[in-house]
Amino acid sequence: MERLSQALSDEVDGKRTCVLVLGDGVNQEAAGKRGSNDWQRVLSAVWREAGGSPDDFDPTGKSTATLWSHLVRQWAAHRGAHRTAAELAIRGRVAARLRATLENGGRGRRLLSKLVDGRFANLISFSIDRRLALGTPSRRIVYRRPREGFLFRHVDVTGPRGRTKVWFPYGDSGSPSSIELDHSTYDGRLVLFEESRARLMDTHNSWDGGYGPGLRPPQYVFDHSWSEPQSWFDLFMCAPLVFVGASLPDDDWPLWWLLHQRARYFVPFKKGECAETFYLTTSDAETHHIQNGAAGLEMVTFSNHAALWKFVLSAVEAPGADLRAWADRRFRP
Amino acid sequence: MSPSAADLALARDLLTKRSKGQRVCVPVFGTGLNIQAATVAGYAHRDDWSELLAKIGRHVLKDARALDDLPRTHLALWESLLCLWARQTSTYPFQAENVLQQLICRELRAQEEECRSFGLYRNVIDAGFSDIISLNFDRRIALSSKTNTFVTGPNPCPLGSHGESLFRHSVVQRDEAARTRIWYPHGDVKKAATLKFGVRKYGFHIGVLREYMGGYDGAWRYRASSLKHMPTAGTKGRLLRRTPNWVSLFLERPLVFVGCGLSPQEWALWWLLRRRSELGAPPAICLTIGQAAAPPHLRDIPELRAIAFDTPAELWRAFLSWVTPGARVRSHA
Repeated sequence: MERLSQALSDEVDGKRTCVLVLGDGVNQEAAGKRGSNDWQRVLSAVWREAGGSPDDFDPTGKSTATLWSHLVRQWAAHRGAHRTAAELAIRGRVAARLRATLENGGRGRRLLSKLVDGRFANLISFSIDRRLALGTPSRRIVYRRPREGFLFRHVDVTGPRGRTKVWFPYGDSGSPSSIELDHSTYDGRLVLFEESRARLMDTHNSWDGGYGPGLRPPQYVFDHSWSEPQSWFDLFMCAPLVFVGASLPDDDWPLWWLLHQRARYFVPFKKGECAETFYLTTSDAETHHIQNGAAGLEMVTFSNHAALWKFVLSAVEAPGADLRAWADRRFRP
Repeated sequence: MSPSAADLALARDLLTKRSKGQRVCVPVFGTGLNIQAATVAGYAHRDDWSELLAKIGRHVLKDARALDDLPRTHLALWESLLCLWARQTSTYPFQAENVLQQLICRELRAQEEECRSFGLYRNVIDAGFSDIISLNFDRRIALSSKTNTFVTGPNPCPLGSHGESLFRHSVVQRDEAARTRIWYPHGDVKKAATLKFGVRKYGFHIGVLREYMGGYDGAWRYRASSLKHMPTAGTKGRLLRRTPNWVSLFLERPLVFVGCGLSPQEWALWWLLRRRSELGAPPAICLTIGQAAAPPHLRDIPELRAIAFDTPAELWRAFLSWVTPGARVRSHA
């Protein structure tokens, strides 16, 4: 817990260096209705629009990718559409509903505002709605590299406490064509990750580090790119990560590819040259596939969601500690 | 719960349907075949994946009890073991992975020799399938026949070394006119480098499958130079079209999975199952074990129909009665 607190407080030039990776649990907490899932309600509504009976759509225990595939098949069957057309239609419908309902609503703004105002240089949102970025109207929001691939597109949110890059690895509702939640997108993502891994390794493979002649350590790479990373892939490979409200479903292969590749990348280096990976959860959550350090994830278990969020919010509101002044503090033997 | 009469009829029809004297369907066998063959023969090593990984774990870990502190899922456990081995031996993870894969091959090759006379493998050959897909790395089905040969496929491989497993297969000459080909999509113990296990190999394998299906050229690979022996896309395409491989069988023929866990973590397998479902391929069924129903991840999915038997003995009795009627089959434990 102490190391987690330290990772959350580390900052350079007034910006926190660790990256919060936020899943749908954040939206559930923000809405104040845990167990009542806005996201699943949107999917259910589109399911009905696709001619499906509510009784046939049971999201319990199913991953988003499975539900999405289910929706696409239903749409294709009901409308007599080709699979690709059905996929595009579903993206459009889901994005429209998210824009019309969740993103315009006032629910949960307080928690999301605190996260965005937490002085993080980068946040990663696994949700495709933009509630995190659109938290309060007083912010200035700029879409960066909107026409580029899913690795590069992000939103700059500038609020009273500075600028934060918000990355949407699964796309965002502002651009329906960017949404990639289906199993059918996995091959493309894996291939792009493989290319990105090669680029990262080639770029940082000219110095005698690790087992040499070898890679530069992740900490070195991150120190040079944390405030202006090329893509969220680089963050995933090099940055300290803190997962909050994310279930990391077993069937999200590209996500697990990234996590395991990160763990592999860290192998040749000393602890102090690598970044930490914390996974925040509660004792009642299903974490069988994450337990015992899968992919190097360090699980921090809270007794309940209230305790988890109390910890996160107090860490986010607490003043940071200058990482450069305390360079060798974090990774004690 | 025993399978319904309709399900039994579906399985029987698929397995017995012939065209030009050959069975139309392709059976796909997993570790369940080895376990059942060992059970019938009273052989001690009934290694499923858990057992095999435990053996690797005992090699990597000084204290066997430490295995309990490692991740639970097979894929995460494998990744943890290879990272541990890399640290212990001051090698890169890919080098450690190669060493551990050679260990697997050595263990399985020893078992191959001991198991080649087991009756169940002979029953499978005698069933007269023109093609069999084995998800196991070992070649026990082929070795049960004295007339087996091994085909390594085109050299150099048009899909690079990662693509060799698409073409490598055993051939059993059943009589003068009839032969059975046995394919190894996950690689084979004759060449440890062909084994497909671990996230990097899985990701690469899906990329190669996509490339085979025409989705990509070879430019996504880390070392594009690995394909320089294939100067033009046309040459590569022609060679791929005329070289026998298991992917075309998988996509175009009815499939009957027997003794396969079909874990959601078998990325490439599920990717291909989804592709064939989207392409409207012939039916696929999975004969599985389940007291009340099929395992949750196999229930009500579009990719295949799971038919659950109460016990492995019932499953194999039914399977053999369909494919080798009248043959002398040893009673099953």
